[in-house]
Amino acid sequence: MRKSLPRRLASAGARIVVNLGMCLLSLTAIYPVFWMVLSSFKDDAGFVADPIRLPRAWHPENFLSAIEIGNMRTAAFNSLYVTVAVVVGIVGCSFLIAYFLNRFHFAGKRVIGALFSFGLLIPVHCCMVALYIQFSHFGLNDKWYSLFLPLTAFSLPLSITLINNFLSSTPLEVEEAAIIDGASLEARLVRVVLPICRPIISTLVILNALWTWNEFPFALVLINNTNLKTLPLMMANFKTQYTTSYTILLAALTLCSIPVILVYTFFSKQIMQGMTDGAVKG
Amino acid sequence: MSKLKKPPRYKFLIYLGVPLSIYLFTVIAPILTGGYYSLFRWKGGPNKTFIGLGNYIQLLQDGEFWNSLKNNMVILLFTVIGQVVFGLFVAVLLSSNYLKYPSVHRFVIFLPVILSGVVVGTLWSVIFNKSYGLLDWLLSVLGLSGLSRNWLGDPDVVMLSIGAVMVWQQIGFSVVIYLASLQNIPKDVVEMAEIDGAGWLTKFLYITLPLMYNTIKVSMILVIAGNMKAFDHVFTMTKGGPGTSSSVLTLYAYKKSFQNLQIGYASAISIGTIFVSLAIILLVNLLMGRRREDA
Repeated sequence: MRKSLPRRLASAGARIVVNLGMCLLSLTAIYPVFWMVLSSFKDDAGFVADPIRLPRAWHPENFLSAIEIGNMRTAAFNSLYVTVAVVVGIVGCSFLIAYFLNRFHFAGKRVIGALFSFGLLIPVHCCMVALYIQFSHFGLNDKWYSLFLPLTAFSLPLSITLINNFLSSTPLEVEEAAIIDGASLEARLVRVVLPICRPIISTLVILNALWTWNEFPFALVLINNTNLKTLPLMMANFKTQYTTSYTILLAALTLCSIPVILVYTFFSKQIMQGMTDGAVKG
Repeated sequence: MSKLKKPPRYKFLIYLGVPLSIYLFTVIAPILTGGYYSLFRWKGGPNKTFIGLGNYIQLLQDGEFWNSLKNNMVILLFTVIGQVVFGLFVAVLLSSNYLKYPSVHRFVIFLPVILSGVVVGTLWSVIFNKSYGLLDWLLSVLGLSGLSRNWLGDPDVVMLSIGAVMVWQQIGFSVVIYLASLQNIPKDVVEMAEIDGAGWLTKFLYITLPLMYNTIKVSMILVIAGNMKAFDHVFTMTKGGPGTSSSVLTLYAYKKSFQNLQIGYASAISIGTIFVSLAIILLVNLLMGRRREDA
């Protein structure tokens, strides 16, 4: 259908406005990150002289200094193992709890469901003080395993809700067939239910890995030992201890962000999809 | 739905009991003990003095508590306007047929969401810097140097700066939620409206908005719940300063307990925060109704 000239002009105008506006918005979103990466290659003099021009001389040694000053090898290792352990913990625990809540009737089921719904509503950071007292009482503070329990437990409500919703839409027949074949509960869980839940579990792995990697308040409260600090905690101290060189600070920030940006580049569809599902179905 | 036959009791204890006890120990117990501690005057040592609701009475008269609460509300206002309202606008732009490379734009807009709050807070505190930060450079290029402020050091603008950073980081989250919902709007409804000669504003007001009502409500609750626990950004950018002008509730509780060692009082702040955020979520639910039929 051919449109009249004014209509075509109007749509050309709309085309320009939409594209220009969106480019401006995208630039606002990405430029600070780009600026952070670029500035981390400058020396301080060049950075102060002109904040936006390309580096005259590139200084990749900033990254080495950042690694040394921030003890970043240790911090990266800590972040990595905490993230892996916590994600395994979250997936294991939420899978089991959601399965039992979804598939069986038993006493106390409603209470347990209510406890997790409650956990979904309250701002979790409010338990920080009492959790700290409780952990020091049991001697659980400032250990290599200190972050495991809180980071796992506070992610459970959302993860359980997501798996539970997913299980509600899966048929019981396959499991019943497995029971007739004489499969034990464990065999059913591992060989039948777990494979069925693969899509939702991969969503949970991505989401929880990101959250755990970026988590700050619990690390701040529970970890004191320099050798146990995670990357966000180390970054927060980096700024207070070492503010003389902004380019090295920016290099440290860049190093912290590279892993998540890489993961995002490869899995952006799944991450967006997962966050949307987590938000809307949670 | 018919349920499966129950496994024996000991399997319940292992497979349900163990994960459940982690949750009870780490989440539920601290809420209960927090409520208990809030009834005491307690400096963390062996001496606890029971003072009933004394901490809560003190809380109601505590200017710094109200100031922190007010700052939380300011952040809520900024993020609701920025993420819920402006985010919807961005999502509509992103889903426009006129837009080239929509997936590139979506990738870029969402990118800040995945960065850690500490990184974002630290990065922006450099951007806000007076002498070589990006923001003042941009203002001077645009000839607007007069607008320049001590972004994080001036009590009058500090909340604006923090709110802007939080919106910058999180807007992509709301946008992506809206996009998913926009894609679910049936094409034929839109086409019918176009045949009837509806312009974009009419289509937006009478088709998009009503069909997205529930998503908007969900994103509103998410934004509110997310920002009641605002901590990372404030901690890395200002630590509540200058003075106490940018303190928020979680930071106030943190300072009272770990710097002043007022454990009982800090617990009262925490319990108070729980009540405030439950009340706000309840209020949103009441105001926006319980329509659940549209997705």
